[in-house]
Parts: sequence; structure tokens; C-alpha cells
Amino acid sequence: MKAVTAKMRALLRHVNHITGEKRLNLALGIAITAALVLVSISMVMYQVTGYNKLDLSRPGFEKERQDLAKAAPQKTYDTNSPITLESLDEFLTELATRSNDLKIYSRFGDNSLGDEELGLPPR
Amino acid sequence: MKRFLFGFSIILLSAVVLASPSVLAQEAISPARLMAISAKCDDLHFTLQKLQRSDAVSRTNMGREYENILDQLKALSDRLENNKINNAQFDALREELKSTIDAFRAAYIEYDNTLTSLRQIDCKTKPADFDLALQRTHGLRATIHAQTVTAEGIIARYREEVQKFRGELERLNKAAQAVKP
Repeated sequence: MKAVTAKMRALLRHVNHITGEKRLNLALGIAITAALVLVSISMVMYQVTGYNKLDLSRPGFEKERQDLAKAAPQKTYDTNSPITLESLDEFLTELATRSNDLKIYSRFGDNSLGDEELGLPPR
Repeated sequence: MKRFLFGFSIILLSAVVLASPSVLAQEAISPARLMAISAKCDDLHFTLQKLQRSDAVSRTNMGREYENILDQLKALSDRLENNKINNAQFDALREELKSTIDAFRAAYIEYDNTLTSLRQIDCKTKPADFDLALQRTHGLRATIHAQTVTAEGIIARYREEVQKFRGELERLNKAAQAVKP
């Protein structure tokens, strides 16, 4: 650990001695490398987490973007006030609205891949 | 004799291992179905492409609703905690819902990957492979649906718990008012 610290200090001393255009070039190089590393990490996360599958902002998904539900803005629920019957009623109403909204979507329960839907004879 | 038996067992075991699921599945598929898959190959690919796109929309919409619901449950939990009220039963249900939503997300990714692979199979030349992948994709779609049903059930239980708590609070309020001179 001490050796690493000493090396870091030596490197910093070396950097401090760099002046003028060289210093600017070094700074730009570090900034570009850092940006590339961060972009690479985010691209890996984008792929690994599966968000790329849900990214409807990609070209060719114009129609799907229009099909996205215009969700009502989320009501902020006060987290500090006392618990009252009215506050619980407000909560229950909001929860019921959200639950009903969920029922609008297909929920993958349709038989879209069934033989009948695809017009295939049974196995 | 022992050597012969050992060699025979190895060959038998290899045959079982090497028999790919697609080969085994081919035996179970009727020729009429294989012919229909080959004949309708273009239509099937078009249907699957449309389905994949509409599913992405459903997944996005549902994911957003689930996030909103989780935020709302967290807000109630925080409010109960700030009022020094035991929120353990609500927190347990929220955690259960969170796990189910995570499972829903994972199931969707697996389904979507399988659907992408299914779309890459040439069903004109490989109808049996296509059918096998289709069955698998169908099963994964059912898994996603099962997760949505589970999530719905948890949300319903949460609502019941809140209603129960509300009833208790109302009873306590009435009792407090009755005591007042």
C-alpha cells in the first residue's frame, strides 16, 4: 500500500512539472479516456440489464412510441403528516386507480402464441 | 464380458446425451403441423415480429405502473414509520411485490431473448426446431403472465391490509371521541 502511495505521489510530482501545451494534452487525454470508460460501462449495463429491449426510442419504433400510455402524473404522497382516515382514503383511491390501469394492458395473458391464434394444427 | 458391458453402457449413455431435444421432439410433432409451419412461415415471422413489438409496449407500460405503485407503497410505509406506527406487515408485502416485479422483469428478458431466437429460425427448412422454440416461448410468455397475476394478488392483499388498518383507526377515533367529556 505504501509503495502504491509513493508511486502515486511520484506520478503527481511528475505531472506537476509538465507545463503548457503538454499539460493541456494530458488533461484532454485523461478526460477522453474517462468519458470512454464511463460510456463503455453504461453500454454494458444497457445490454446486460435488458433495457435495450425496452428502449422504444430506437429508430423504427415510431408506432410503438405512440402506443405508449400517457400515464397520469404520479401523485406525491405526503410522508410526514399524521395518519388520518382521509389520508388513507386518498392512498386507497390512488392505489385502486393504478391497479385498474394495470388491467388495461394485455398482461401477457392472451393466447397470442397458441395454435389457434397462429393457425396451426395441433401437435 | 465386463469390458463389453462397460463399453456398451458408455455407447448407450452417449446416445442418450447426444440425442438432442429437437430430434426427440420431431417424433412428437405431426407431419400436418410441420407442413403448416413451413407453408405459413412468412406469416408466422410477421406475426411474431408484431407480437414482439406490442409486447415491448406492454412491458414498458406495466413496468412504469409497477414503479409508480412501489413508490406509493414506500411513501405510505415512510409515513407510518414517521408516525411511529408498526409498518412491518406493509413492508413485508412491499418486499414481496418488489421480488415479484423483479421476477417479472427477468422473465420478460428471457422471453424476449427466446422470441428473438425463434424469429431467427428458418421455419421453411427447420419446422421442427421452430416448433420446439415456439413451445418454449409460449411457456415463457405464460410465466410472465403468472408473475403479473401474483403481483395483482399482492397488491390486493396490501389494499386489504390498509382497509383493515383504516377500520381499526376509525374504531379508535370513535372510542376517543366517546371518552371526551
